[in-house]
Amino acid sequence: MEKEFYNDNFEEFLRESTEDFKMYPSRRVWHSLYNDLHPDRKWPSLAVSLLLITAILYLGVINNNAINANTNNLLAAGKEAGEVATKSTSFPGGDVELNSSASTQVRGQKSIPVKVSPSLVGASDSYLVQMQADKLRVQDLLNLNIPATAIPATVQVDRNDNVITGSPDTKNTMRTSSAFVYNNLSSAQANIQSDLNPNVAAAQTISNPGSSTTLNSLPVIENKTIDPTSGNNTNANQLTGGITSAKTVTNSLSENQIFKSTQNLDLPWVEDHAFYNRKNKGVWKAKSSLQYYITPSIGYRTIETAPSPVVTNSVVASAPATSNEVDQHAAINLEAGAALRYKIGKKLIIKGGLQINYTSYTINGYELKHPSQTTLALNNTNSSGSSLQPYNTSYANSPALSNSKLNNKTLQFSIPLGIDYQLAGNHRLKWYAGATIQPTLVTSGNAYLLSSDSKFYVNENAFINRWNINTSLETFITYKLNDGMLLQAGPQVRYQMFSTYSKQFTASEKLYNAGLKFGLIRNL
Amino acid sequence: MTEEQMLAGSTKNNAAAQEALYNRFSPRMLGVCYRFAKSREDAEDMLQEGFIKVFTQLHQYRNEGALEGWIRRIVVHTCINILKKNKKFNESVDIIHANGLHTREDIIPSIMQAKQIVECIRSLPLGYRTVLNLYAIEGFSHREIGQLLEIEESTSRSQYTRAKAMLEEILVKKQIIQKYRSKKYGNPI
Repeated sequence: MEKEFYNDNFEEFLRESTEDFKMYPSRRVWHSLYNDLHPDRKWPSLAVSLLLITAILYLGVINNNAINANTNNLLAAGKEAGEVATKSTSFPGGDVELNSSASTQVRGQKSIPVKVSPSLVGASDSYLVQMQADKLRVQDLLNLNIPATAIPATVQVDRNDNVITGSPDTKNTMRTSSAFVYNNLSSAQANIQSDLNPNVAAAQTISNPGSSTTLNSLPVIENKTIDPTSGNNTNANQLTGGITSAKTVTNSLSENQIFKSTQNLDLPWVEDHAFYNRKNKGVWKAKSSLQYYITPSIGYRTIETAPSPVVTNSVVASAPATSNEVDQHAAINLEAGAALRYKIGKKLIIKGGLQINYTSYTINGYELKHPSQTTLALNNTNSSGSSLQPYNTSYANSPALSNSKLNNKTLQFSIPLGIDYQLAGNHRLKWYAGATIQPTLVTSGNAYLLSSDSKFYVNENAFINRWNINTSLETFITYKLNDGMLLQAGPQVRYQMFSTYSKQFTASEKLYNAGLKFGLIRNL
Repeated sequence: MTEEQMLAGSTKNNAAAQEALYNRFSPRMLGVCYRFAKSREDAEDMLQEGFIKVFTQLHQYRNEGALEGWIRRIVVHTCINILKKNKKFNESVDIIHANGLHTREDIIPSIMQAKQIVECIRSLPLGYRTVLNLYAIEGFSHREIGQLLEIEESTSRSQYTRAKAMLEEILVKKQIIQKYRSKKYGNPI
């Protein structure tokens, strides 16, 4: 009763019109579905990824050990050279003796590795190897068995809302150029609209030479008509040919021709043109997202020191017993930034952005009551080799009597460019690995440089390089909220590729930090 | 692969059979989801949720009626459940307060009829759209719609009347149908 009261032809019309409406989902849906249905099969990729991360860490540790051994050798050589120096030196200030025979060994975990594993940086290549572009198999879609004559309103739409094959009205679905041209041309065939010949628009238009003078003037390259009864499997190919024809015509039209052909026509092509432009923008937006992140981390450094040409005694007014040990400690670092991410494949995302980093580590030193003079080993600018340059300093390297924390810090702005690769996940929870390379501008900093005899620190910021390159490796999980926003969390390692100091200073310091990155990703 | 083979394989959690079943029905089901969803991405999420339910409940299918109808029913219910979970849907009890809302019909392109009609439907306010989809296309009664959306049956009925009027107006404006052409909508002009 109720249905009869409300139901008229309108419902029937709607039902018939939309019954065969089809859209082709992206492969992402099936992959997510597959992962949900077969969770056990996620484990191989999970295991491989864990193995990869373990291998990277292992290589890093191995490399560090080798580096420490190298450092000890280098410092031992320096110690032998240091035998020239007095074993016990009195200073005019008189109340402190410097003992240069102290061990040159670097203390504890805070050793001074000379090099850093390149594997840590180069490991991102192995992710790249796994990446495979996921292309929509258009041919598969084209070969679907859909009788052209049996579906008066069948519409099949691909991921970008393009019509793959369909009814007479598919003529309007050719995107951008072909749609543009079609709408201009289709006015000429307004008088044949009653003829519902299920041909592809472009082919139909081109195959009616008498329908328009505009058409006749067009340099038609190909004249192709699709026979709707010619069979299912060839239908798509013919459609493809028709589209090609339309595109060829489009390409051969000058703007002037198009304008002339349309200026007298009252067609809503402007609307369509605007629509397609809007959709193109939509596609770009659909693949893009904006990421905001912050990464608290622990920062540290590796340092490689060249043997000093000559190790001299410092002339110190008042200094405690110093040593060659370097007592350095990690400190809190911070990173914050924003990045634009663009999905270029099923699992691959490229990203670029702007980021600010505060890096820091501390050295335990002893603040002298009176400034002292020491030397820094600097490379000669005009010739090979190095020489010692005198500097005044108020900080001695005296871990045993440490009373001052010397904070080595920099403020950096970088442009991280990189990729994220999805390792596993479903539509809500995803696991990624990522890597970036970061051209970096160091805007300010504070550097305490170890003197040539390793007994003092000189606060000299002029040697800080303004430009550098950093790299980062990260792995993280994202969780999709109901409003489509993603929360991100995961560990990150950042490593500085070149020395903090300019080439003039003989020591090479490379900063690194490890932290937890928290982010928020939202669609544009 | 025949429908029986797909069914048997999918029930046994055979991935190839499941993929075949998915490939067979997903395009049409995505079309269904798209009519309910705000965007294509949302529609794909609905489709995924729907097919998870389809595969997990497939053993309950008793060959009574067409498989496609059974799948469609599950997918539609999934769409409604997702819409109900969505805060916007609850806020928009525009099921009740949709009067005077403007549609986006001015941006609908003159593309082919089926897609154009779907886009016209999607341009309706969420509440109108949902009721119209359920009643006019999916064949639910107003009582069922009321239970499904947790609204009064009379509300569903009145909202459908308004949705229908609004859609008619849009379709006429888009020259998809002629105005009150003897109440015949069958032939597009």
